[in-house]
Parts: sequence; structure tokens; C-alpha cells
Amino acid sequence: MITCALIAAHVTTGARIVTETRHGEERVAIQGLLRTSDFGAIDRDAAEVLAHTLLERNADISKGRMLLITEGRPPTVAVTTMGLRFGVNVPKTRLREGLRLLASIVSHPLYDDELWEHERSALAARTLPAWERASDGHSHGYPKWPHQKVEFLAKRLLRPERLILSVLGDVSRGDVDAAWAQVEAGWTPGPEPKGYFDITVSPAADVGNVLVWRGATFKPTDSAKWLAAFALGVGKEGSLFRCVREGLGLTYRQEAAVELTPSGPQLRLMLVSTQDLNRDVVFDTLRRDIDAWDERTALRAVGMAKGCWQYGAPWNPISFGRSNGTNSFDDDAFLQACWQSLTNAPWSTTAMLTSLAAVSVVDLRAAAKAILTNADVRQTR
Amino acid sequence: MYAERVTGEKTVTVALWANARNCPETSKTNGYRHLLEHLMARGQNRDVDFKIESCGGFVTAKTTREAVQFSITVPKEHLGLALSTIFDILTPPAPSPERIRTEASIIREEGAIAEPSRFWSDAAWRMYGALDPGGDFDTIVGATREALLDTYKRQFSAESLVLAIAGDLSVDDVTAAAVKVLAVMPKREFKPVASVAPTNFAPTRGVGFGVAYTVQVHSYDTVQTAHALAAALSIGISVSNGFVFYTPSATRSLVTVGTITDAPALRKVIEHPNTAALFGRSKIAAKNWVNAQLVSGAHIAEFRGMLLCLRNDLRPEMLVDAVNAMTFDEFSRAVTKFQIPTSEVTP
Repeated sequence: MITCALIAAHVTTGARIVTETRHGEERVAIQGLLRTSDFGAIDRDAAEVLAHTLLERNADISKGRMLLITEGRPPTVAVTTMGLRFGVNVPKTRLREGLRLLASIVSHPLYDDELWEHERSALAARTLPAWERASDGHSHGYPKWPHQKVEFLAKRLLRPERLILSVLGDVSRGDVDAAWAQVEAGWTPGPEPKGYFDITVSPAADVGNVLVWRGATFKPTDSAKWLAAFALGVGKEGSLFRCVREGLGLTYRQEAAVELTPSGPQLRLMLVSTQDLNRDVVFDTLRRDIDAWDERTALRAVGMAKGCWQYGAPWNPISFGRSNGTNSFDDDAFLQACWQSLTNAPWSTTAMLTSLAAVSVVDLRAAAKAILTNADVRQTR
Repeated sequence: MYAERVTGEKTVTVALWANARNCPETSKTNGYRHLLEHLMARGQNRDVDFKIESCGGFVTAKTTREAVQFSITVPKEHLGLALSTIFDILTPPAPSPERIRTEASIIREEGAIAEPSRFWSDAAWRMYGALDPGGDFDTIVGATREALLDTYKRQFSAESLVLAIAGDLSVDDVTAAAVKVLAVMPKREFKPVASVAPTNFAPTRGVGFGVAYTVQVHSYDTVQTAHALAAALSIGISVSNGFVFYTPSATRSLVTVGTITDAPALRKVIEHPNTAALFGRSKIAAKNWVNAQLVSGAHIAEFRGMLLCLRNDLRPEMLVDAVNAMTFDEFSRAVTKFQIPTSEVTP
């Protein structure tokens, strides 16, 4: 049972910490965002390889011990549009151990050439599901790097000042701060090395019949754009579902995602199909639908936003990368880290919903049309 | 009917499960149940989602080998809307041929973007000669309104239904409201069909990525199922991007463990298991799995509802009890049963 929520954020000399207190929760979600906004595509791919090695071997802690601390929930790592995401989920009595575990993962890695190559080749050989492949939008070049270069990358990436730590659960800010201070005291990576490795970005990959509209990034507080995302592509009454799936029978999955990127949120509409997709037909169908939007459309969109953000509907458009957020406890914690990075303020569901409810239908239509008209449209087959 | 009060929940979930024991699929009807699920989920006037989403709720539906399910989650003050919507969904569909063609096309798209774990599960079931509950496009597209109505009567007769409701509401109030919905459902008006177990056990080679291992198990409440699931979960969390696929059954099911990225690591664990380490993780992994099925009111309504629909004495806790009582030797035997890969790696 959750009785109240308190959010506090502050800056230490190293990692930035966001603590959200939710009384009654038995477990604590600890999510770390290592920002890579200054990395190029190849460096980000290399960082993904490095991230996978971090969970395999560690100077501080064995894999078995990790599972003992988390009581059977493996720590997670993922590449997101905001940077590298690390997650540890522990019982609330193990807060200190959980923080130490996350710090160990990013501060005391043990990798060698053999492990690097193992993880690199596994990632290179991986075939993502169709939807994730399409969301990803570019092919990867997981590099075969010599040890020194990996070493350089690790020193550049694994640093407390790159880390935003988000802790969510029945814990106090004081407890988190005290525990983290102890942990961070033992994390002294030395000065950040200078230099830049990035090389040419690979072209977009062909991943079947995919149609993507990618809007420009917008201000995190632009309520009309957020509401347009819900009206266009979230839920079974969204325009994409009604027009493209139900009307045209072209797709099973078609949806809007709002990717959080270091430059701000960015709306992405995407369809994947085994059939030919005529972008002009789809565009015209959507445009006509937007023209017909009325108060009921806005009401439904706000309801869907409530459903996603307040009541656990499984179509939350907020995306950290290949797939949308899933409304999990861990995702809530990671959203706080991302929002802190974007706005220097905590995410507030109540404030967001209030601002969405105030958007007029005229503004909603205009926002949706602006997104569609000015979007970067990509079609692959 | 099952109702549970979940203190502190902001939403209430009404999950309707319909057991498929009276309409086993053949190659001539493969996918009819799935098509019905698609046709019914939007309601008679196709306005179910507008009503539910406008109040902050959502509707989900799925078709498994042994059941069809519709689930509606709404803010708890809208329980009446959720129940009337279930009633609306249960109205016999009368689709036009054009609607059937469109839904068949959508179902084909659904199969094309299946998640890797679903792919592996389907590959494993094919090894046992079972039909895909997702259905065959050519069969689905040829469905007639009359054939669908016959399937509907078998699938959704009153004795096949379980209504499970969970939320922070009085169990008595919820029960009284729900009984009204169930009372108007038609009783059986056809000859029951005995379930036919597939007999073709010839292995089928799948095409995919990564590697997966499968064992066949019996009903949810058997110790064999509990041990196999505990072994799979323990193995699954030991490798990168591991997954476990299992759908509870009252007769027989499959437990599949696999990975889409690290086939060598999984092979190593399967072929040369550190059984002591795996055993150490197995009980907590199984407990976590059951807890994850009961993490919210929506999960409770869906998971308890599914088990009750399969057999009215099945409970989630049976698996935890069986795993808690599992000995090291029993666990070791369960691990060694995961020997034959479902499919080889195909880039």
C-alpha cells in the first residue's frame, strides 16, 4: 500500500541523487543514468559492450553475490536515448547493499579482451524483435577495440559526475545520502581522459516495412505536444489504432512514443507491417482524422494519460530507447533520473496531468499537425 | 467467480476468462477463437475503448491454448462501467465478411512481430504437434459468421466462464454486482467435445536466433511442473537476456528457457550446470515469479482468474509450496531434463 510520495533532489560533488519516498513499498528501485550525450554513435555502441561486461565480472562482487543481495533479481543494464541505464532492485532492508552493488558495477569492473570480444560478438550477432529493430533506426558497429581503447572508454564513462542516481521506495533521503556518501568515497576514478574516438555513423538499417515520423525535440513543459502524442498514438482509440489498424488493416502494432533525449522529448510515430505502406495514404488518413478531433478526443487523450501515468496502463509512451516505458517501479525511478537531467526538477505526474487537461482542442490539433508536417519521415522496406 | 480486496489499489480490474475445453481447435478452425477475441474486444458498437480510456482505464485481451481472456482495469469508482462493458463484450458478434478479412489481416501482422520468447514457445509447441493458438491466416480469413457463432457458443457458455475481480472494494458489493452479469449468460446448448491431445511428437526444426530448451510438464499443481519451472527460472537469471516461457495449464504445458544473445553461455549452463548454485537461486526465483503474477490488483484478477478458469481448485500458492518442499536431488533431475535444444541458432 502506498500512502504518500515525497520527492527530493540534490547535488553532491559527484553523482546527482533523486530520492522519491513511497511509504509501504517493500522493495527499493535503484536506477542509475550514466549520461553519454557527448558520445558519438560508435562510442555509444562501445559503451553498450562495456556495460554488458560490467554485469559479468566485477572486482568487488561476484554474480552469485549480486543475486543474493537482490534476492534473485538480476541487476540490469540497457542503452537508452539518455545514456546507459543501470538498475538494481532490492528489499528495503538491503538499501545500503543495493547502493554499494550499483556503485561496484560501475566503479570496479573487471574486463579483459576475451570478455570484451564475447560480449561484443554476442551483441553484434543479436537479432532484435521487429519492433525494437525499427525503433532503433540505425545499424550498430560494435567495435573490435584493443584493450587500451576499452580502458580509455571506461575511464571516460564510469565516473560519478556522469551519474544521476534515482532511488524509489520506503526510504528517506537522509538514509540514501548517508549510504551513498560512504559508497562514493571509495570511488576515485582520477581525472577524465581527453580525446574523442567517434567515426562515421552507419546508415539506417532496412528492417521490413516501417514508417516512422520523428518530430523535432520539444520543451519538456509543452503540454500540447504531450497530449498530441496520446491523441495520435496511445491506446485503442488513438488515431493510429483507429485509422491504420482498424480502418486500413495494415498493422497490428502502431503507436506513438515520446523519447527522452538529452535535447528534450521527441515524438515518434511508428508503424511496422508485412504489407506495403503507402506513406501518402497513411498521412492523408491521419490528417483528416486530426481535422475531425473534438472535445471528446481531448477528453479521451487526457484519460489515457491518466491511465498510463496514474493507473498502470501498459502503453506509457515515455521511451528511453528501443521500447516504451512499462510503468514498472524501476521505470518510475529511472524517469526521475532522466527528468532531473532534462529539467533540474523532479517529475510530477499530478502537475503533468493538470497541464494536459488545460490544453484546448485547437492547440491540440495544431500541435499534432505541426508534429506530422515538420517530422522527419523515414520509410524502409 | 472470484473477488479479492486489494487494499490501497486505485483501480479495480475485472478479468473474464473463458475456458476452451468445449471448443478444441482443429486445422479447419485454427484461429477462430483468436478471431473472436479480436472481434469481441471492441464491443457491439466498437466504442468500448473510447468509454474505458476516457475514464483512465484500459482493456486488454488474449487467447491462449486453453482459454480466451478479456480484462478491464478502471479507477475503482468505475466498477459499474467495467462490468457493463464485460456484458457488452460478451454479446455474440455478427461481423461482416469485410470485417473478418480486415481482422484476419491484423492477426497476420500480430504473428509477424511476435517477441522472441513467443517465437521460441511456438517452436517448442510445434515439436509436440500442437496448433498455434494465434491461428492460421488462410483458415481465419475463410471463417463464416455461422462458424464463428458456433465457436462463440462453445467458448463463452456460462459454465466455461470465470469472472475475477480485484481492487480496493468490498467483496460483497463486487460479488452482488458481478452476479448480475453472469446470470444472463446462456447455458450449454450443445454436445460437449472431449479434448483431443495432439499425438504427433516428431521434432520440428525452427528458424530463429539464440537458443532455447524445453521440457513438457503436466498441470500447474504438479511437483514436476514446479521443479521444471524452478530450474528454468534459475537457469534463466544466470545468463544474459535469458527468458522463461510458461503458460499454466490444467492438462499439460511446456516450460521453455532460452536466450536471444548468449547461446554459448546458456549451453554451458545446461550441459555443465553448477547445480548447487542454481539450486540456491531456484526457490527465490520461483517465489519472485509467483509474486510478479500477483503484484497488483490487475495481475491478481488475471492470474487467479486464469487458474480458476483452468480448474477450480488451482491456486498460485501451490507452486510456491511445491518449490519450498523441493529437495536438491529433485531439482538436479529437473535441470537434467532440459537437454534437447528446441532449435539451433540461425543467424
